[in-house]
Amino acid sequence: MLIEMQNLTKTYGEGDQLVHATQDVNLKILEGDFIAVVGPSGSGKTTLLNLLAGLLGPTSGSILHRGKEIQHLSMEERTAHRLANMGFVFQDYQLLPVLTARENVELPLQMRNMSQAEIDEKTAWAMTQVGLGDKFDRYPRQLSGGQQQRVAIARAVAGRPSLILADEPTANLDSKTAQDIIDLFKKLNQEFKLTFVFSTHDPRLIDQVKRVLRINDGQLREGKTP
Amino acid sequence: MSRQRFLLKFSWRNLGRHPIRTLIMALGLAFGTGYIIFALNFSASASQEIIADFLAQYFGNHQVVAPGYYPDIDKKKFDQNYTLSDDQVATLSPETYVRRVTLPIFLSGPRKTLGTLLTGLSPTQELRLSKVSKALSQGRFLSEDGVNEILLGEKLARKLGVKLGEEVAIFGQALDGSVANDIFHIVGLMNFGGGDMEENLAFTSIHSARTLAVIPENRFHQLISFGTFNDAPPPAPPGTEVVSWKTILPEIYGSMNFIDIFTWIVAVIIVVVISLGMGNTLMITFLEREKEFYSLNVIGARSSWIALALGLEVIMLGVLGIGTGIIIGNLVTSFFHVVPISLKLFTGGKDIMMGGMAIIPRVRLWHHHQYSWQAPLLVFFFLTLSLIFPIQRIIQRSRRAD
Ligand SMILES: Nc1ncnc2c1ncn2[C@@H]1O[C@H](COP(=O)(O)OP(=O)(O)O)[C@@H](O)[C@H]1O
Ligand SMILES: [Mg+2]
Repeated sequence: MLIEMQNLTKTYGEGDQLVHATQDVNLKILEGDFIAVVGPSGSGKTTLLNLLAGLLGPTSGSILHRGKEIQHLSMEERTAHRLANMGFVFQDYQLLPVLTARENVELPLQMRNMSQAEIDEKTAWAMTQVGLGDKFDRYPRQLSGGQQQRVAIARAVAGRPSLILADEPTANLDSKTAQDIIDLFKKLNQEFKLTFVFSTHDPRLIDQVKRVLRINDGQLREGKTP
Repeated sequence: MSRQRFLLKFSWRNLGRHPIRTLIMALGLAFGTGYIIFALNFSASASQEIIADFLAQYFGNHQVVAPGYYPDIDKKKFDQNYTLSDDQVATLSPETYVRRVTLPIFLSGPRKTLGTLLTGLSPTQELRLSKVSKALSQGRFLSEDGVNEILLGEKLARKLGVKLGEEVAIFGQALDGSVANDIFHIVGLMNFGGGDMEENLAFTSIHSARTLAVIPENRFHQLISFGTFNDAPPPAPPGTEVVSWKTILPEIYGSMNFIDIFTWIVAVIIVVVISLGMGNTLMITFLEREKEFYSLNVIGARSSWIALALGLEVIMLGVLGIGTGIIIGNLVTSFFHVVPISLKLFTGGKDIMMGGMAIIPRVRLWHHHQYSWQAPLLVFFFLTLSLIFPIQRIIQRSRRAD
């Protein structure tokens, strides 16, 4: 068991303004899972992923990562936990414009106590996996959107984290490129047993996914049928 | 090691994101630092040259006197009964000191009788070592073997009602207790810029002064050294006392310190203004990157990592700007060392009065090397202070609340 969410609720605001972004969620994620979180805009997808990442603390309930409760950790401890155990892919890539593709991939590795040799090895591996072995020294502005998202994926997987979270990673891409990104996720999942949880509102991607979590008004339901 | 290099690279490139903004901030630091170094060098050099000019006109840097000559130094009293003999100061080279006799006397002219101070000096030595003769405005300087020649301040002559070439009567007390009186011929008039000195000083040869006050030919009151402003005092021969101008004229020495303190206060104000501007600009620069800091945190950057990256950015900017400022400050100082600044620029052409004398110096700037690290340290201190708030703010904001 990689992740276990128990009776997890996250609310925003209070009184009339109270919003249940996630409501009483129970969820188990296994090592090697490949999960799509699907729901309309405002349904709570981002909230769920941010709870998984430890970016948000739950209002009630608990999250266990490999049996360890993370909701009571301080912000700094959760950041350290993320660095060691998770990769994150954003909708708008969020590469640092002043760093080359290689340096962007290196960035989280440089924050860890790793030798330069190990960093070089992991960076080269990740860049090759995402198919950008020849674009090491390009700056983000010199890459297309799809290529930038590949660099972001390389950055997320280079440290071989136990969980990779992706919040609408294909929303900014055309459908062909979006398909390529999902294919890349699938490949990394199958070849290296990397665990993926990504959110999307694109129904065409759903058929290709082992597990689908449907979310609506903060309520979670498992299954491919709407 | 590689982590530090990575951070340095990251911060350096971030500095380059807004080249114009970075340049303006660096130039602000450079000109601020440069100006402060120049201003401190200027005020230190100016007060030193003003004092040096002033001291060279009459007082000198150090006086060797008999213990007891100045019974109460702060009150400017002296006791003419305490003299030194040539033998006592034999170790001090006569080439570098002047001997003087100073007598409180009454001068009598057709209009008035006035109490004043008669300085007996050795004309050839004074011409060589001091600038007393520079104040001469009419007539001639004293001659070595002239008898009862006297120089009067112009103002004093006017009050007494005497002119060049006329005579004045002197009376006072001789050292043996008898009444000293004689007639002196006015050979020259002196102009000290209309100050008090012009009303209170009269000069004669040391020989005539000794004869008047019945002082033996080998005795005198003061042995005076002229030189540069901060010269070390001469070693006091046994049975004598060395007194610095700083002790005799504490109010003038104090005014120098005041000029220095004032310059530092202005420097601090400049630095605070620059730092506030920088802090504000940095805050804007950092706020523009807020989203970036958030995603950095999402991918695992701790607050300390982000703070370090931002701190390095500012340190590099500081080193660049302040380093340039040190060079600018010293270059400008060097320039005004070669081309001295006339202080009349600041006084609308008027003389500067000090201690009753007019001072008209051109200030040659000297490097005071301590300012080349004190000024940068001051700038760096306030720069760091102005940073703490923006960085703290940015880090708080990059952590979205639960
Ligand atoms: N910081 C916040 N403050 C208040 N309400 C929020 C905040 N973040 C999200 N919400 C609300 O929570 C609900 C779920 O939002 P979100 O998780 O962003 O949905 P999705 O990612 O599926 O579009 C929405 O109603 C949204 O308005
Ligand atoms: Mg969302």
